[in-house]
Amino acid sequence: MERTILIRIGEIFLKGNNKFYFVSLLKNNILHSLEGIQFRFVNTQNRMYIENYSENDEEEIISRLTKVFGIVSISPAVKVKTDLDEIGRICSELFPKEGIFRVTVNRADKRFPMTSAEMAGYIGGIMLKNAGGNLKVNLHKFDFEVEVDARENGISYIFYKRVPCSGGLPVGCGGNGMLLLSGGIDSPVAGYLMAKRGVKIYAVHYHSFPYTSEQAKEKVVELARIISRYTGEIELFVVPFTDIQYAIKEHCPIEYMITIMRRFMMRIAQKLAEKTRCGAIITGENLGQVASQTMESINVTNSVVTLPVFRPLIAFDKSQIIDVAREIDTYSTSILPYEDCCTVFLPKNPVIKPRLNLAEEYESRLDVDKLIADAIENVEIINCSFK
Amino acid sequence: MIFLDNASTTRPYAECMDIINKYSAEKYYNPSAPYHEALSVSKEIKEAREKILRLLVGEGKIVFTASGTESDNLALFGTKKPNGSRIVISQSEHPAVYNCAMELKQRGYDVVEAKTDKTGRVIVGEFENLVNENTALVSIMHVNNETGCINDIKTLCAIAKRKNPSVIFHSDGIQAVGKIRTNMRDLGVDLYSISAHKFHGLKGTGALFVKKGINLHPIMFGGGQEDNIRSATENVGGIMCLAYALERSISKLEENDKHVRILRNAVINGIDIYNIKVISDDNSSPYILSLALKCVRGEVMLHSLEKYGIMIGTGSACSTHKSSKRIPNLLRLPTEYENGIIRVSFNDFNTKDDIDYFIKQLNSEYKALYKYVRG
Repeated sequence: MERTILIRIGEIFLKGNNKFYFVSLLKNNILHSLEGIQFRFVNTQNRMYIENYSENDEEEIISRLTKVFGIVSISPAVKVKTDLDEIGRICSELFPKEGIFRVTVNRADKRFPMTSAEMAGYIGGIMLKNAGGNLKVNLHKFDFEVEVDARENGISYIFYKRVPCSGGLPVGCGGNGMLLLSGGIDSPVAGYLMAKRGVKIYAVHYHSFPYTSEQAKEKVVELARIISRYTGEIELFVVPFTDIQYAIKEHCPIEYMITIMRRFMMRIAQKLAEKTRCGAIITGENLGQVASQTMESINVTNSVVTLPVFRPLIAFDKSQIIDVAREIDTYSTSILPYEDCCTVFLPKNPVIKPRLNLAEEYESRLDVDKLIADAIENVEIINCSFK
Repeated sequence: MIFLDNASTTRPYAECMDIINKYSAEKYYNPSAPYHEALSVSKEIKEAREKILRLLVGEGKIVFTASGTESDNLALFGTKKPNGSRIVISQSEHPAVYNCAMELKQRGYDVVEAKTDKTGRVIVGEFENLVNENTALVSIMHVNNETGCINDIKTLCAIAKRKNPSVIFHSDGIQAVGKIRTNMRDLGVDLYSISAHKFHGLKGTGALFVKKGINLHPIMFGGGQEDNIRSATENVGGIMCLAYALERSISKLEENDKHVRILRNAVINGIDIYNIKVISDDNSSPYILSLALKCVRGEVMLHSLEKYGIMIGTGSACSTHKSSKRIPNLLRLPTEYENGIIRVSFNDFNTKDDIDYFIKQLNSEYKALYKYVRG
């Protein structure tokens, strides 16, 4: 009898000839997430197993695997020979001796001389006998389910619980994306969601020292670290933004401050995306949430880039975003009250429906290329991971 | 590095390192143990206690705690108060007192706040009207941590006792001790909080002066240390440092006062008075100078000065995690100054050169930042 964790993979099955690529990516991500723990990784036809680990690490392994995209669910299990009497005896040990239960057998080994239902009946019979009358069987309404998976190689797995995981696709299979990470509630959630579709996340943060503090920057680093539990290590580019804001403030109408600022952010994000081979820019924008998130604003800010811009939160309600933020543990960090660069020089009446020709006209008063080059030259790169 | 945030903490005296080393590496015994070495440590704590009491000119006892905040908590929660009785505090108390009072209010006590003037000082006439026959406890800070204003504790205490002799009077003396005269007998207070790291001792050590005849309920339970008022193994090294630092600070009180007054006046005379308002008045502690910048946020100035190795404060460092507007609102500043409060707090280690450099950078940074004020 040996403890094992069974890993069930989801959509990867659909990937036909590319399956090997997806599976090997997932394997790497799993190995990476379990760094520091002793175990053996076993990969069979459609399943993956974690074996030979210390019982003390089981909870930690489960907790980390729930955050690896591409895994649908996991089950801690006991690995035994396919001997029904032995399986019945072990099930009696592992499961409660009272209550209502059912046994479900999945028989991959079709050579076995009994059907799945017969096997289930046999194992259940042993459990009933060993329990001394306090157990009852009901296939439809039960307190617990005993799942036995009889594989082709004469090995069976007895699962004693099923832990739902994050689903999605292995990080890396969807290319690289450059996330605009602000320190608010939305952008970490956007990064998380795109990573769930397999995108490897890079991040850019705009820092307006002395208007925003070192604590504000640390907060963003912390957010990147928190989501790196799901996304893997994140390379964070911290871009000094004050001089650009000064230039806009000096030469452009204040109501276009945010619009023009965001156009600069998009341009810089695209430049950094090119350097890191990112195929898309990711933002936490949400239609109608604030003035810079109207359709007109999004159009004017989008028009400075050629890369696709992914906005996974575009149609979310704020409460839905907060629910995800809570689930991935970014919420309490996001609401720490440090100013971010968007609140500096905030005009009293920002333009809600900016016009592209006006934005372009105002920007023509600035040396856009030089401002961007200077900012990128002074970028600070921070590797954020949860270790 | 020019450290002008001494109201948040101070650099410990170098001698404190020797003291803490001695009681960590050599005399690390638990003072409650019955063998000789431990008894000798216990005796040293007793001597430190007596020394502190002598330095504060108090009759009663010293209860050691882990912080000024804990001393305030012990004072507010540990005093015996009939259910629903009145507790008088001031509007400008430090959160360590203010939030205790708010909790007591939740528990059904009649908590009232004495109004303060534009420097944060309690208005004596207003205070007088609040103390009544139902009042069980008064807690008024000695020196305000944000503006440096000094409350006339002697007068306030006398008024409170006259109006209701059974009132217990507590004062948070955390910004006062070692900086201005703190004579318990003269002030007349029943309870007085102090914190070692504000006068060159170490963090993690505080004390509460408890006047003779005042009984406190413990708020921490355990082995019965500190006369059963505050259980926990004593922080021996910290306590010894507190006693040392207090003695040294008080012995140099007048000399230091003269020194920091020169520094403070240099700032007042050196700043751009058309755009920077001085909140603290002449009767404030010379150690804390509160200024308000026109149209430039205090936090922005704080970060700007960091570039030059200058550290200042923007108010209570203990509450910077919350964007607390309670104190700024009390100061009734014109709108354009409201977000511009900075706190410059001195100590005897600061030199005139430090201050001249600070003034120069403050003025030039102000000019640079003012150019980009919000439109």
